Amino acid sequence: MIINSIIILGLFLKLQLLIYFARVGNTLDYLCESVSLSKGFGSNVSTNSETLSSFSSRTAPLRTQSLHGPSPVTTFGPKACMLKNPKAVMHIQDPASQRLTWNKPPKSVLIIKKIRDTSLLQPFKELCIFLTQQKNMIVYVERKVIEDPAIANESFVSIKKNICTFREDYDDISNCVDFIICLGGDGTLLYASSLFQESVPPVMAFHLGSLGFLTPFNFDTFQSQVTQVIEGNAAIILRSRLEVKVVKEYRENGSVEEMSLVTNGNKTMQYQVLNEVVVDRGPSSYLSNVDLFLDGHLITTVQGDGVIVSTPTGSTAYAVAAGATMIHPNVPAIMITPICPHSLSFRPIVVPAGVELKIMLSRDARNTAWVSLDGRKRQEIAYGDSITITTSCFPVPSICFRDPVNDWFESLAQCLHWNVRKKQSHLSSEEEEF
Amino acid sequence: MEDEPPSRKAEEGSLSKRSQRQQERQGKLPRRRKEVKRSLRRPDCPEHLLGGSVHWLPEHPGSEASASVEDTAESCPKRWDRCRRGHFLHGPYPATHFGPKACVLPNPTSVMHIQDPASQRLTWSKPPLNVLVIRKIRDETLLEPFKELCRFLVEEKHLMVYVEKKVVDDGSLMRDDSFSAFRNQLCTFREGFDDISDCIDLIICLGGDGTLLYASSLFQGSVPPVMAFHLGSLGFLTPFKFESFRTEVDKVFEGNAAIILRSRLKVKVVKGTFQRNEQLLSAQENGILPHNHINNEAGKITLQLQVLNEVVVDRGPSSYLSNVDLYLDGRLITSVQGDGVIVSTPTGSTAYAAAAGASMIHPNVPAIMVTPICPHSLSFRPIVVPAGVELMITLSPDARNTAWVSFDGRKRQEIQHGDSIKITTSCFPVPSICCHDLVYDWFDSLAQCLHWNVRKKQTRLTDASDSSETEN
Repeated sequence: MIINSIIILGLFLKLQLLIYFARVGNTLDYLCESVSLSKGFGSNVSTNSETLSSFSSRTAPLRTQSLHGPSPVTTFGPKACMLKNPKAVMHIQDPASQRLTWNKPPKSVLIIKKIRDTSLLQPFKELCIFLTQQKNMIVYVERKVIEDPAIANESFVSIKKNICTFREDYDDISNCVDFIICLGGDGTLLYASSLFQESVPPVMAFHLGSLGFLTPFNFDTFQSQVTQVIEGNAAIILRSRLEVKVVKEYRENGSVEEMSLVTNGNKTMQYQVLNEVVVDRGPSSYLSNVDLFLDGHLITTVQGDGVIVSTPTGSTAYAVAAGATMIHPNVPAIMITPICPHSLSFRPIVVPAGVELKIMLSRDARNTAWVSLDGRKRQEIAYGDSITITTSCFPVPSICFRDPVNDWFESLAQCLHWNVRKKQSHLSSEEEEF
Repeated sequence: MEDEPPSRKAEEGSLSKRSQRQQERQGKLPRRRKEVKRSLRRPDCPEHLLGGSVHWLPEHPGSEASASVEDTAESCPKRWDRCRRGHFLHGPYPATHFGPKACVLPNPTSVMHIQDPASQRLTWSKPPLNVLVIRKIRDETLLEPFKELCRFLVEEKHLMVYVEKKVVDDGSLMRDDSFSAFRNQLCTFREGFDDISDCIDLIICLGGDGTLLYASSLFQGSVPPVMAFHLGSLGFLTPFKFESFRTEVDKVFEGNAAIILRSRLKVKVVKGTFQRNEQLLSAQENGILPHNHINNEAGKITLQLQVLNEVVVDRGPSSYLSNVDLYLDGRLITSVQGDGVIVSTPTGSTAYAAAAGASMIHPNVPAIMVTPICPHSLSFRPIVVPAGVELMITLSPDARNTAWVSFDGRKRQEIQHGDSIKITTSCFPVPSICCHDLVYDWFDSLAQCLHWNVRKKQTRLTDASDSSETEN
């Protein structure tokens, strides 16, 4: 604890110095340098903070407490306090100070490029050349990307030799890839998440046109940015995923049998989802009628088009279209949003991340329901089947451009034009009348 | 043979141990053996690269990316348990190794240790002696329960009972002879004059959610545990039924009651020195303010308060749109034009914010909600931000009028140009004692108070062979 107070004292003194310098010139550089040095983050703190793309630990300058909130005081009044239960203590790392580090230098990169988009071909080639020739890395791409006829021209044949291909659903690359680069939109990140059903390597996502939610990096300066990441100088945000289990009951001759104790015969599918799980009415015109259980208690029945259970990352995807509020990815929560509910009072709710949700078809349902996971693996849910959802312990580590908070608001403004409107002008006359 | 599960949980307690273990396993593939339908093949790769330091899949089957498999009974529950061991209410510990080579830089100075909310229990370091009883005034139905409770606490439990002066000065109570008998055994205090913050060991609230807000306003530092009873219908913050108050109070005195820490907001109103000069605007990058403009040392803090529900900034009596700027951690995020904006805690998300169209947040989620009130914009959706951020609200330079701020509906005051309101999560939560289940109580009150998603249920079709999907 002495060390902590010395650090705090040092920080305080530096802030005092800063306040003095602040009146002289641009303070941001001084502030960032001092914050980074006194917090003792990684070894490669870049002191060049002029360029926007620099990774100098430009954490939010003034936050003096964890992004998660302050540790609550555990004494209540003069006589009451919290019973200490050492078995149930959580150790939470401040999300804003999470940085990436490499145990060994990375050697293999997976490049995910959106297929059927011709504007991405040139950037893709440049990136491959840079990685294979200048950085001596092994590049993996999915076979369909390489087999794109537009790529098969002269200049690319030489590069093709140095690239490893794999086929989706046939080859498992989960342990071969050290990090991932995504080109071309938020969907590429969902694809990356689907390839890694356990530990996910760090993901760096570039946008080529406009800024995306999950794609904070601008491709124009990719060389310096990729170099910085390979050197180990990056802030990351851990985007939580949902662990979904779809259990289909064993059926014989079309009739529903009782759930047998042994799981033999029940088909279980387990999947990690980055955006959301959608349960809807499929092609049927009837209302979908599903029961929602939380930690074993029935909390409500959703009647309408369906329900969305999403992560904070997914709260700006389908859920926002369904009327939900938008949650910052660092808030540990799960969002439940109904789709066109036939009820005047069904407001979306936000529940703690550690709960276990279960969705089952209601006894009174007139039809089956359909579930889809991140828009894929769509399947039918009949009475007796269940979908169990909880937060996964395998998040997707996305590399931040600046820091988790800044990046998110930037993308809210650019992608969704959040609260953008013509601003009401000031009254020029001094006398105001009501 | 199942390999040792990659223990990414912090049961061992140290991150360095885990990374060691991970390094030991480099080259070994920690996979469960599952029944697989397809044989796995190596990804195609040019021959000359095979000799490099790439990890190839060994010959035995590993796991697949995503496939529907027939799980054996042993592997499926075990895997589920592995994740469930880290089953805290805030979610499981995230795995800190990403792929074979990357991991999170361990940073011990920024690790917080908090008790899992689902296992929080109250304990008394000394037996409680002083109880504050808060009763809603001007409600006739509460007089009898109040008398019963006071009698129980004074005569049977031998406690010192504190009440606010207005509560006992009620006309009908004065006329009651049986009450006047022990009236002088009660301690009275006057709101606004007497400071009882260090004298109270336990608070009992009778009569509605407002009593809890009142309790919160009396204690601007550490708050004693609060037991709130409802007498009519269930309230959001009042989980206990009054009929069984004797047993409930006894149970609380024994200790070990489940508590939920309702976070509060720490609000500071700073008068006078906030400015946004034109020269400095051009020196900023993307709206991040230079340091000296946020740290208003010269500014006077005129008010510092703890707020349980929300802070509301609105247009007051003016008919003009309110025009306030919202800063988060020093960065301008948006400008709210409309009737105003609400910054609320999860507890407050079911109060004014729910009326303004926000989603409802469970009190155990560490977050702050920002909701606009009647925004004059088609795209202003409420947002939920992490609890640790610092928000600042100031009047926009272009605003045509001043704004008004209120805290939990009280202490209403005007905000001029140059004033700023700073908001962050307080470290002094309100510990509310739970009745049944910490997590589940909230859904009960959603259903009862707000009739959340209550409607006449659509009946099922009686004819079992009706599978027509074209008619409703």
